[in-house]
Amino acid sequence: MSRRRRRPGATFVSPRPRAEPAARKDRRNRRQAPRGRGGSIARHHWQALRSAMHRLVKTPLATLMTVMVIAVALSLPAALQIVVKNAHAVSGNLEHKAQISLFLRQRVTEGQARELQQQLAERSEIVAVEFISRQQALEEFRSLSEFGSALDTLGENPLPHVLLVYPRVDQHDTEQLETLRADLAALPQVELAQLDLAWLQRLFAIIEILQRSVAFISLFLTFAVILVVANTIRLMSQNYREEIEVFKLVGASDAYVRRPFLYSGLLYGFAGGLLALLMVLLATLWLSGPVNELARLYHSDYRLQGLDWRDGLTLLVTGLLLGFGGSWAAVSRYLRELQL
Amino acid sequence: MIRFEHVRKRYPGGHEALKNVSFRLDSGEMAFLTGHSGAGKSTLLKLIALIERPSHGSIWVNQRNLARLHPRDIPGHRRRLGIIFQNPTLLFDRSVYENTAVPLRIAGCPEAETARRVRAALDQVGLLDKERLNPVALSGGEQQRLGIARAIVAKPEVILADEPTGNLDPVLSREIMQLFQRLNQVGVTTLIASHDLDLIREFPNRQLTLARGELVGDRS
Repeated sequence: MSRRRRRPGATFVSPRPRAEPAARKDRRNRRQAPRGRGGSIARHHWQALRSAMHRLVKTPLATLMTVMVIAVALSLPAALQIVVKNAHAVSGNLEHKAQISLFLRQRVTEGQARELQQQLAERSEIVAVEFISRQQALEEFRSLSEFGSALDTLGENPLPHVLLVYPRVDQHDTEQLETLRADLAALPQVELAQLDLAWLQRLFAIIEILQRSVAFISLFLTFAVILVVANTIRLMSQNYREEIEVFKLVGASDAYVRRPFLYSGLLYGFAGGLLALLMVLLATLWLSGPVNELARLYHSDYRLQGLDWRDGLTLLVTGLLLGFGGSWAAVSRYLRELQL
Repeated sequence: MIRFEHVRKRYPGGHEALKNVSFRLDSGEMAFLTGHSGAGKSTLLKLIALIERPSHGSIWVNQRNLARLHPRDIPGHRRRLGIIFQNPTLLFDRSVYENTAVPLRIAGCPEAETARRVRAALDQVGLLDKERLNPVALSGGEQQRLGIARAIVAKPEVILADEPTGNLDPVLSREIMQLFQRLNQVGVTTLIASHDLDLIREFPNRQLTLARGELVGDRS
């Protein structure tokens, strides 16, 4: 570079002193700096980013601990969000399977039962009707209940034919469902019409509570992340007090002084978000095996839902925003206190 | 040009550091500001650098009324000044070169221009051969010269020096003052606060004397 050339009239003499680490750093900085007359803003941002990275690397343990705290604080609501997401998926499946079971009278033959199935399927308030013959029901009962040998002692099949009615009406409108159930119960072929929605309603209530809890915990942990970043940046700005004072006295604006700290906050937030994302992904992977196995045992094709790319992006952006917000609050306050 | 018109400065708590101070320093002029400790020398320089604001009166620096300067314009004002302290407030995690380059980096000066001006400033203060060293490896006099290099690198309109020889021996002090004289010869308005009357007498420049916050002498 040109700085190695000796200028005419220069009074210095060789040999040059051996380059020290600070000098090596300077050379690297100058090599990497954006060039061009119009690159002043880019140059400032580049300097600020480099300075921020240097500050974080200089205290690796403190940086790691801060990033870990942010990651834990971000991963908790993310993990709970996954729980809510899966609960929604499960309840969604169940919602569409809400049904009224019609236990037909013993005297109703299979042919009459199938005829009734046809008639009901044509009604506008019914989506579909499934027929389970008494024989099918017995076999299912035998395989699931483990009372197969006890059933063998019975002379005849005590189970009736069953029609499973899937209503078209809003699943949350219990009044409408109850009206339909009563209507079906009044049919002469029907012994018992059963609508069991209570457990579904309870599940919806639990999910609602879970959802609100996640929102509250997320809000709480958001403040925690802002406080962690703000406190870290406050300590950092105190460590760089001398440098800040020099900068201010030679004409640095508040924005110039603030910029490296904002980049530090952004880096903390990004690293925390990235680590949180990794933690949640690993936890999802770790849990997906047992959950999928459990679903299989219940004859379900349900699969554990993890974070999709939108969730991942949200986590990273949240980390960045919280890092930025925390550092902005801390360094702005510090500059106000400095009064230079 | 620096102009003080009936300037008073009262600190919180009631201490009046400057009392009705008025003077004018022409563009390109060099003057010494003398007086005992606590006379108000540093306060006067701080008012020019807008580290402090006057309680009363007006201060003009190159046709700019500092009282009317918006806070967002303070950095721009300071970039037109070269400020030198008794302790040169260097950054010890950077080289001599990088310390000198700080004002240019803040001003967003292109890299090639920065390198040229930093070397010129270091050459002027005789530190060009030490540009790669860490300031901790410099002597007290060299550190002060580095502070001066940093102050002049951005070609300021005004140089303010607060006891720049306070920590130096007589020989080094004389060298530093001669350096200020050389800088002043290129037209930079220079105001140097010093209580070292023996040293000041060796130079033919104007002398403003403060005592208990009042301007009690103005000798050319």
